[in-house]
Amino acid sequence: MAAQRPPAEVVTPDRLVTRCDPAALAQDVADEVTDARIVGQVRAAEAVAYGIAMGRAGHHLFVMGPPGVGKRTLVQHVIEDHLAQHPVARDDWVYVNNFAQPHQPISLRLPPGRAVQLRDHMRELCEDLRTTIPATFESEEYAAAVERLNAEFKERAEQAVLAVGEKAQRQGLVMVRTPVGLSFAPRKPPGPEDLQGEQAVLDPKAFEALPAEERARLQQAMLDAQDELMRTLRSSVRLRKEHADRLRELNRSMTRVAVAHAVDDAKAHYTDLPDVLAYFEAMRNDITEKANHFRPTQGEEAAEGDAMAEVDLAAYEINVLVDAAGSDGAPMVSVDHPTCQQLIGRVDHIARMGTLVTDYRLIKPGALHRANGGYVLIDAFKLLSQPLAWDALKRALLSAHIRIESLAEMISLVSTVQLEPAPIPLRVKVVLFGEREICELLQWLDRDFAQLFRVIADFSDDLPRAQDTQRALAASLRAQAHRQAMLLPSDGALARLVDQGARESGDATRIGASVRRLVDVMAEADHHARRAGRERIEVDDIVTAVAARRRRASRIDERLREEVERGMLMIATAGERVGQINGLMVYEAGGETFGEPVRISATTRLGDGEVIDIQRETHLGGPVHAKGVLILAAFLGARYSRLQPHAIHGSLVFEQTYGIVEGDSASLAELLALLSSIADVPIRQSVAVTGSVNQFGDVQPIGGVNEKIEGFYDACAARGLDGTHGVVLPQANVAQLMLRDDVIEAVAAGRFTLHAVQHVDQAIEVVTGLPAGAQAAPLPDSVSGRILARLREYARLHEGERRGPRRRRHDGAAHPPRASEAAP
Amino acid sequence: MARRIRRAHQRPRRECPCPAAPRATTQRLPRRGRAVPTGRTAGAVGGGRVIGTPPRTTLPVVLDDSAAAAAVIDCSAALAHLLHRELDLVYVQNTLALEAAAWPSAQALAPGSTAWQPFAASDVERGWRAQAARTHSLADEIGRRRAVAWSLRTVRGALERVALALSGDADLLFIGASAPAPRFARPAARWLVALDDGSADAAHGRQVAAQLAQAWGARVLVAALAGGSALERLAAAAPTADAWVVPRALALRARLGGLRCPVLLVAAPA
Repeated sequence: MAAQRPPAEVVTPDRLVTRCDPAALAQDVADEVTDARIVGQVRAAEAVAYGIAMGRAGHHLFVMGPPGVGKRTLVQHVIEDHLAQHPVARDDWVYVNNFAQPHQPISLRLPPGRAVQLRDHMRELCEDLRTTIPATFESEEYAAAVERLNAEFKERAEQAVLAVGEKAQRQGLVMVRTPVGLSFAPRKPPGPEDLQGEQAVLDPKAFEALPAEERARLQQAMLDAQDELMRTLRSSVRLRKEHADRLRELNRSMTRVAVAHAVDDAKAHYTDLPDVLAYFEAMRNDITEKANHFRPTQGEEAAEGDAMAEVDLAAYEINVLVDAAGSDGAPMVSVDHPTCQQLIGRVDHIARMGTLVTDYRLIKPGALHRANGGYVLIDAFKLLSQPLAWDALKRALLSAHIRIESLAEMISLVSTVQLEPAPIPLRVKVVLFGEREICELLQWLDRDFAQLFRVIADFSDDLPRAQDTQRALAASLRAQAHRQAMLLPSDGALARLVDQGARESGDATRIGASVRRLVDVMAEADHHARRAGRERIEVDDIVTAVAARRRRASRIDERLREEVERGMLMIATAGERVGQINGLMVYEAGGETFGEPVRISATTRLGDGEVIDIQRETHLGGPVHAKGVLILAAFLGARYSRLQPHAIHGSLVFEQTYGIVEGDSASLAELLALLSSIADVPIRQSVAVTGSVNQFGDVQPIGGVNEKIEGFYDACAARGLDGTHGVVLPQANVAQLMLRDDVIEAVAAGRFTLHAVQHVDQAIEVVTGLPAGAQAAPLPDSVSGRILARLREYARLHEGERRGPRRRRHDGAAHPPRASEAAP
Repeated sequence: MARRIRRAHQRPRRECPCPAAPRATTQRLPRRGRAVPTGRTAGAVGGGRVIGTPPRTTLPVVLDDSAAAAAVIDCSAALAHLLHRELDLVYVQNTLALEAAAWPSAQALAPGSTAWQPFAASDVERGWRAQAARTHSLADEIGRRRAVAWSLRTVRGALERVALALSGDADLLFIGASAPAPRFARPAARWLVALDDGSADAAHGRQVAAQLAQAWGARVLVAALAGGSALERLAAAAPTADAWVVPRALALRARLGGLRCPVLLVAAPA
């Protein structure tokens, strides 16, 4: 026989709250902290420190935890500390034109500060060339050289043609220029009327009068002249090409001379950078090759006054992508809007004549460029929300190169001129921030994630409420107040904030890790303190702020309480009812948690040992709730029907609920309602019950105990407390109590009672006023005795049904007796 | 026999609202050997005048089929604008071409062609019409741009004879001619070569060359001509000049038919 259980413990007022001692938070002047350090989170801090210090590839960080716990602040502090001891050497990066393949711009790495220097030198060089190149082509030397060249070739061409004409003339022919082309005809001998050198064509009739030999000779001479002219004109094509080549070489030579000095001056600054020197050489060659482009247009080609058009040297500009010594100096980049282009950079286009065009000067850096050599901090949710951004980041990290790709081209949105900039080596540490669900999803769904993010820093939701933790939290809050230019909080106010942190953690022995919420409370308290003309934030300001925040979120709570008072939501807080009990539930609204009583009812009848969870049957119950019901059904069968058929059919329901019910914190109340129905014992409606049970009837702790108690207290207080009201709660939850002052006062005054139980039997006694009864052989008047009698009767009836009607006729019992009538 | 040639524009100039309004006629000069006598003033009919007696309000320009027409018209238009004169363009259709076409086996090598093709007088006439149309178009465009009034006449004969006929009393005469050789690269700058034989015409020519150079955006090279030097030799010395500015008397002694670039004949005012 099991030992008799003690009655439920009545919780004394001193155990209803654990206050922080303001004296323990008193600050020494020497300990003044102006930097808001993260409180606790030692494990996460160690992980972050390891992840930041680990230099190997693939050791990027995923920092996970609830919002507001200081994940980003901690990481930033760790990075700053690490950088102070291990400063990183970052490089400048520029893109320059690839003269051989303009669609594949070249990237150049330079020491910090040299990129801007190179850009400025190049600008100066181009300015010089803009004057020296035109001056070269406008010089007398150049003009004379061109004249000599043109004269030479014109003379050669003309002489060749004229020679043909003169030879034809010696042969008695004349070369005639006609609108159709050049022609030959026999020449008429000059007469006295002809001018000097004037030529005339022989009349055909006169030709016929010539001797046959002369005619044949002239005809042959015409054929010969035609052949020779043809050869001469053909050779003039070669002459033209030769002239163009000579002129081109002249232009190159003149340009080379003009450029050489200026380029050599610029090169002298970069003798330690072979890539830059190579670029200067490529530039010099390109300018030389394009000498004709720089030659001012002249004569008929140029409009008036246009001969001095500016030389276009835009193709030689330097596109500074990363200026590590200047604007991009910070080695830690936080990406607020992590789109694909914000991460890996982009290539802009400009509209020209209705067409989108681009070149290397329109390449823009991304966060990875700016953070290269350092650290980049990204919110995981934002990153995953942006199309292609996660893939782009992974590609960059896996390949260790930043390759700028057009987003539009990736998804085939546009078809226009695109660049393929040379990839830039990437050496960066990525820190992702997110909630645990995101990290778990990535671990589950993305094979690359584990390869890249090998360090996971997990921030706790709450912290142990130790003395040093409280002091650290107080110091952090002081620092936040200082940083945000708030009034400084008094020690008492800080103590109330610490209490609020414990309250939000749902456990008097712990403190919620979300410092941000406490800072929000403090900011609101600062507002109230300033309005009251105080110089510091005091306890009252904190209390006012907490109450105001709760009130702003209490629309649903007020409405529900109103419905309870009107009787629309049927919650009995007085009297007794069989199979009906007040359970307690919590819900969140506006960031606050509220507790409300809910009526739970149970009915039983003869059956096959099944307990129907109506919530589950109607798909209004969650799996944890269903599990709780199955557990209590198992307890029922194991305790009362171990040696007989469990011939009962029970049903449970949360009355007047229209949404999903989840959790097992009502399983104790459900069990009590079921037992009440079986035993036909009424339950006191002035008491509400919360707690879960296991298969042995042990009561287990639940969450939201403070809000649940306060919710029922408010419902009862609205109708008037008479000393009978109270709440049955798990013994394990007593240590977590952080109740409101008015509840504590009511308990102290004996108007409200909290009953801490460890077993369902203790709860039975509280809610029924009857002894629960021993497990093995309970007294007939105990609740367990009545339950056993009823179940035994059900079993007998159930067995009778199975054996057939003959036996039932023999027994002569048409109906099972009432439990109260049955013998134990 | 002298033939009277009607002036290009019948109406008095003051009645023309646009200084660049084109007026063109096609007229025929006498055949070679019976051309308009030089230095003689012919009587006017209906307000016209006889060729060879240009007033000082015009700048006569003689053109042939050569490719230099555009440059010559532009250069002469610049000078005409400077001197407030009207361009008197005379397109000379060389009758030698017709005579060559009269041959039964006449063949011509067209520019850019690789084969000799037979041709006839009709081909020559068609070519002249095309060249006249192009000259008209060039004159129209350049006249508008340079704000110069112009007229265009078409005559048949030989360039030298027409030039001689027009140069009689003219203080300025442009003769557009070029060598039959293919053209090479455009020169880096425009060049005028002013020939100086020490005469009064040459002195005036230098002044005109300087003015023309300023108006046309060219540079002037003054070439001193020793006594008795032939113009042809000078031509060989400066083959790439855009135009020569030559004293008229010197030109008349030379073979104008052998010219290989445009020439501006200049005579000092009396």
